[in-house]
Amino acid sequence: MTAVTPTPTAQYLDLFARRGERSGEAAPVRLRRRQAIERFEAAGFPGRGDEEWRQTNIAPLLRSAVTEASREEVGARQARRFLYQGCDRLVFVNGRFAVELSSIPKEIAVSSLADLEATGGAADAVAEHLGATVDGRASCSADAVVHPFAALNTGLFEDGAAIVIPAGAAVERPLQVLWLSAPAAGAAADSLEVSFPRLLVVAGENSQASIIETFVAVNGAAGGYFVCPAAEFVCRAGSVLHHTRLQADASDAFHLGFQHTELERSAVFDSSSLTFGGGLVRNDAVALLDGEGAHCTLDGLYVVAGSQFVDNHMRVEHRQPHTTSHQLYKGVLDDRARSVFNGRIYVHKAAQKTDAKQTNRNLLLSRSALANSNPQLEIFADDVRCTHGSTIGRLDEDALFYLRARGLPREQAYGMLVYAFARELVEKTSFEPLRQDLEGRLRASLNGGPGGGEAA
Amino acid sequence: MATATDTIEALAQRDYEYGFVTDVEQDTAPPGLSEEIIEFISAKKNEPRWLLDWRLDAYRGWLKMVEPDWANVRYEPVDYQSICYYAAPKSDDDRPKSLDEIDPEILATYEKLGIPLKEQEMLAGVAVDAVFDSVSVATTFREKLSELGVIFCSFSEAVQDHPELVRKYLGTVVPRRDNFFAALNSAVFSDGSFVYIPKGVRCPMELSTYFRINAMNTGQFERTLIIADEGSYVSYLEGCTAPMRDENQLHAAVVELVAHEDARIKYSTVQNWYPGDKQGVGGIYNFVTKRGLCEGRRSKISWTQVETGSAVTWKYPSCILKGDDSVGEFYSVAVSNNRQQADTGTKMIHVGKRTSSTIVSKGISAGEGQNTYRGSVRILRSAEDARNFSQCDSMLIGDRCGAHTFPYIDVANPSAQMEHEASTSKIGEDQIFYCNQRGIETEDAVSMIVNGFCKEVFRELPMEFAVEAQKLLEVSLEGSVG
Repeated sequence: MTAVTPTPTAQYLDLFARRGERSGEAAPVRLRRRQAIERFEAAGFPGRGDEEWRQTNIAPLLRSAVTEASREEVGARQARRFLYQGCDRLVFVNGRFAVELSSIPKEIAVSSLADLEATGGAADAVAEHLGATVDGRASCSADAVVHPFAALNTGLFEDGAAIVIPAGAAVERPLQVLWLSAPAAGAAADSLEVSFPRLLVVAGENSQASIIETFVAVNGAAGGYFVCPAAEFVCRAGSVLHHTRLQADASDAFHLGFQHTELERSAVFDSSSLTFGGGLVRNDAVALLDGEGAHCTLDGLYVVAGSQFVDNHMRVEHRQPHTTSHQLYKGVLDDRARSVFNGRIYVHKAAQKTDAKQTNRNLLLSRSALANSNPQLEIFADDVRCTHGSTIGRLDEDALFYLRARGLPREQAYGMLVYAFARELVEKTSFEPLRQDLEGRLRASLNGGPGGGEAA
Repeated sequence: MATATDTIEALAQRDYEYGFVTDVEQDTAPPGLSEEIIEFISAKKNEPRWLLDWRLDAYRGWLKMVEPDWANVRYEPVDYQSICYYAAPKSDDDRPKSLDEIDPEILATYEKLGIPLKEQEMLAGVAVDAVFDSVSVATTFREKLSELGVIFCSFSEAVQDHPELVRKYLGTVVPRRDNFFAALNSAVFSDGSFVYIPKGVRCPMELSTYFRINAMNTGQFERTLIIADEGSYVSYLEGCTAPMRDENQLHAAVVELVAHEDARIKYSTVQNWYPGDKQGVGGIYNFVTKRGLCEGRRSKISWTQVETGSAVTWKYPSCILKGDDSVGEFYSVAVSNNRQQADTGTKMIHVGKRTSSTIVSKGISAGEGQNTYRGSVRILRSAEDARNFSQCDSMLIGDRCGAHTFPYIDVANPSAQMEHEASTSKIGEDQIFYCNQRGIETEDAVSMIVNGFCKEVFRELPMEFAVEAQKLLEVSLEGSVG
């Protein structure tokens, strides 16, 4: 540790002060940045006493000194490993746009947030939406408080992508947004490189598109780093947006992200969040169903081992009648891994005929793994159908015996059963290269069976 | 035919039927809370020194605590210095030996409540330990119970007659500084019931206490302690109604249960305290700490509650499943109407091997009522092959009420199996239509559907209570739905 360690909050405020104001930025965005950092300053980091953060221990993060992510160059070959064939791509290295690695589709307006004039096309959308909702304030109910990390991102993001899908467009090729972390090789061991990836997607009326976000680290990235992403999705009336979020950071990385979605009439947002990497992971997702007939799906899978910790916090608000939402989260936990699932469905008085479903299923593979599941319902309308379910358990011994009786080695039988448990989330995507990648990752993480070592 | 709206209004306008005040001279301590008051209470009850010290320690702990605000309820802050912490009927000095000696006004109160003691006495096998405010006025069937060695008496008597048992068990399940309200209760508890069932005895009758809050500004602080020794069985009933009041009354009870090896305790509650008027004025604050300890192997504790009264309810009957193969159960029906708020649920803490727990909770919200289920299931690392099943269903009647579910599930042992299910629904138009078609009036149809919704819980109630509970539910909701 360095001799003088500033207080956790001060470090980030200092980053903000050093960054200064950017000239090219639209006035509303500049204002929102300042407001966000003020809110962050007022609220500070949450403690264990804060109900929303009760089960997430961010102390290790707060203990670390942070520095701005270094400007590393990543070769095309290194990046290619994470890119899918058959889709357009935006590549960001340490949160900065790498134009030479990217291919920008023609039918979509895409801008790098750091250089709106040059890339053009999405400037208006950025001025209107960027940072307007993302720190959680807009999710109206009284107990919605400032999300400190979303506020940090709004205040501090350096670059990011703004994607505007024009009304009526049906974009065939998926768009992959690759967020590469490449901490400098010789970085001081006692400080974290922090990046603030930022994404804004506006799906125009009756448009259709598919977005894939990938969070990974370049080969052999060791030493901790901190990714603090925030994403906003605005789904106009009748739009259909598919979203997959694959998080495979280094196993000692910090990843605390926030995602905010707003849906207008009859819009559909179908999102999957897949967590394989990261040491301390927290994903917050908010969805506001703000138009009749809107539907959102928030699915997730977390496959963690070692001492990984993953926390998924969801909040789905039904604000208008005839809205539907589905959540299915599955977790596989090995070794000393810990998971938290906290899903809240909030049905406003006006939202009659709501149909909401929330399911969380956990599989514990080791004696030291711990799963916490808090599915919550808050309902103020009377003509609704809301259900939630939660299960925690281990693999069925009978099924295991059945497979072993047929000559399968223990590891293989285990892998097969766990794969069967998780596959519905992996096989959900219709985009073949992504599906194969997910399948491979799932298999790789199950390789060798449960790590506890103790015979079942 | 009455429409939904009409009938909801009809219910909303219904006055509290059991609201009346009995004039009985009271021996009351001055309002306020201090060490002197606690010493006064203790002296009044002729308590031993260790109990006074125990109370004072709880009080000193309480002073440092803050009132919890995490529950999903809103209420006017309580001024703890304006409450009288002791009130005893005048007749305390020469206790009545039979019903004839009891103040006829008290008897009349019971009469109005529909639970005349005389009839109770004759009712098949029910012993009634009636708490009128803070001191027990009459206890019945004691001799028959004492033949079997069962101790069933008021808490103050237990302190005098069985100090060794009280001292051994008091505060072992709910420590004196457990939480804000439990600490308050530990400091000032006035009376309550004490039950001890000796080894191998199956208590031949349902033990029952009727609590009744009376006298202005008197919070009631009962303390109940039930001990079931090895291989014994007891079923305990608790039920309450209260007169109409303008000022909020605080009720902070503590119930402790201890079940030794192979013992079984069944604890049933019907709670119908004054819920406040339509604007939510008055009404009882019900902040209760109830906890059972399954100490021995194969022990079992079962909580059943029907909560229809009180303005604000804050109550989480819990089980600590310590003994191997022990069983915890929680069955609950909570109704909140008008401006009532209920934040209730349970905690099941699995410590021992092969422990299992069942939670069935039914919440009904009507008018502007807010009903919250808040439960916690914790399976510790030591709880090999633990099993939990939870189901919490909510029913909404009308569009101004709310239903909330906050289950917390923490599992630290992979051999555990736990399931949680919850649903929210309302009475379907089609269900009503179906009944109407077959000549069943809307009101009867609703009553039928609601009773069906709660059936799983009512089934768990002892005979005497099942009838009362259904009647209560009808009174609380009858005419409220279409």
